[in-house]
Amino acid sequence: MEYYSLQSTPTRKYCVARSGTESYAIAADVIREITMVPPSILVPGCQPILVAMGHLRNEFLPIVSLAQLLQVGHHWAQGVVASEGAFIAPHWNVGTRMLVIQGECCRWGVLIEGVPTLQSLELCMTSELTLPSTETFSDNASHNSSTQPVIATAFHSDGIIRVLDPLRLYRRAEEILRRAWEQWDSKHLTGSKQNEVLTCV
Amino acid sequence: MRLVTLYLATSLMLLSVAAIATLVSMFYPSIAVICVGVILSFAFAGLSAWWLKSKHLLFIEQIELAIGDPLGWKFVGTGIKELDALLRRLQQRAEQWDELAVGNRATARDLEIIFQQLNRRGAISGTSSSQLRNLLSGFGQSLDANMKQCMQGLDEVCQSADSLAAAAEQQSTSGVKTAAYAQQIAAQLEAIKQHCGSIQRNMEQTTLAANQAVTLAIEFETRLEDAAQLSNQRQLKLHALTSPVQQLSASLVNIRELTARTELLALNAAIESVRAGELGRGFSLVAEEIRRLSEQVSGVVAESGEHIKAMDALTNAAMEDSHAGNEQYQQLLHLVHDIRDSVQQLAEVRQQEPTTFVEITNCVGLQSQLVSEVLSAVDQIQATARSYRQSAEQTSWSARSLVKSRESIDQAIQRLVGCAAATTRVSP
Repeated sequence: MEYYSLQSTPTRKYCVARSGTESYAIAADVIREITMVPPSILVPGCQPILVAMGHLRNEFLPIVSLAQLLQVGHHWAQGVVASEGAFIAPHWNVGTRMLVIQGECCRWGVLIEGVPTLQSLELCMTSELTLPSTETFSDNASHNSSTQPVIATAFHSDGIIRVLDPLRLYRRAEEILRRAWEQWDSKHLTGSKQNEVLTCV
Repeated sequence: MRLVTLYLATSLMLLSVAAIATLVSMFYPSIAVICVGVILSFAFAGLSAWWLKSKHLLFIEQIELAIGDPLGWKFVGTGIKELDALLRRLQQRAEQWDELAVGNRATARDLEIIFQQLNRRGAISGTSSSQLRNLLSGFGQSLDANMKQCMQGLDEVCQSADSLAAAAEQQSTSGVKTAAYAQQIAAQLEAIKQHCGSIQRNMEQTTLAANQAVTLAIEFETRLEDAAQLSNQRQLKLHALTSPVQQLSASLVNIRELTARTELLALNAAIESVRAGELGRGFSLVAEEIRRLSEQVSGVVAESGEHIKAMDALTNAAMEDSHAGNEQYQQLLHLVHDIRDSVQQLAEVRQQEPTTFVEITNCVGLQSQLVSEVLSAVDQIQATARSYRQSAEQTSWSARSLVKSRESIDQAIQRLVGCAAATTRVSP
């Protein structure tokens, strides 16, 4: 069974959220819950897309910045400058919410702005909408359409809504982080420790 | 001087009589006759001298009576030095000339009587007659010269009397003017006295009004202090009112958070219903209702928040107004305090000033009294001037009457000269 189907059905609900000036939609059935940002902490030396590590109901969640991931240039957390060796509790905006998405192997969180709504959308499949490739994060990465998180568009009263594929989002974030950690490891860690870290990731 | 001349004339007459007796004794050379003649001559000379002396004294008394003022002429000083000196000199001159004129008139009259007696006797020798004629002629000439001098002096007396009368008239006019000015000054002083009295009464009324104003200011200050205390209490109450408003705002924040959580709960319920598929359709309706309720609650909370903000703004504005009102009350209190002090000082000054006005009134009364004395002195000066004028008129009248008597004296002198001529004609 495919984790996420691109087929649009009239009964399918989407969770429409806003990030900066853009509106995005994610299928409601992959969302575990919508919650306030739980107690969280910054990860030192990490890429900005991984905003923090949160603690929700005895479970640690990686919290990803949708703006950073989609390169829309919006910082979710204020004063988040994760320097190496610093553990800082970020300060979130009042209207910041978190979508808890059920991934393939774990749950992860995506920061959104404001309260999302559940809408039934009529999707318009398109391949024209492309996002910056992961090459911006790594020179060795090749552009692959399978990593493009925007899979469709839809029209709503607020305007154009971009429909995101959470799996591709996850893979994109994973790719970016992996490359970043590899670069970091090449600078700081030995080979044995590098393997242990990769295993943990 | 005239008296000595009279004595000399009398002695000459006696010597002539003795000489006549000696000539008679030469025609009748009897020693006894000679002795009797000499004795008779001396006796006749002594009797003649005694008679002339008594007549002279009588004449002097008559002159004094003539000069003396039957109306009681007395010298009264005018206070003007030059005028007084002029009056004294004029009086002395008038007395002298009056005395001289009277003496001349009496002497002329007596000599006329003597020559008439001598003319009736007709037994005088030619030599004696010639001598007597010469003597009478010289006497008449000296008498004429004296009369001319007397007339000249009388003219001066008349002029001086006229000038004295004019000066007295001018003095009287000046006195009248001075009296009018003094009366005006007295009227002005009386007006000043009345004004001082009215000012004093006004100041007393002002003092009473100032005291009442001080009392009112104190009462107003007390009421202002009460109002300031009430304003302070009102400000404290308003300040106490802000605390519940802030608590209500905090509660609204909590309610807003709870509403947001409720909304999230409704969303999660809706998501769960989506995940449940057909089985969760009913649950989705419930979740939708809960979401709507949450939205309504959010709206109500937002509306309440606006109301609370407005109430908070009104409370703050009321507090600011109350604070400004308190400051204004304090300023008013200071102002009323200053006004009270100023009015009190004014009242104290008013209470001190009446003494000065009383002194001014007393000074004005003293000046009025002095002006009255000046008026009485001016009246005396006017009376003196009137008496001077009357005296000058009398002097002028007397001098003119003496001038009128000049004709009769001239006639007497002519008769004396005529008697001498007749003696000359008889003696050959």
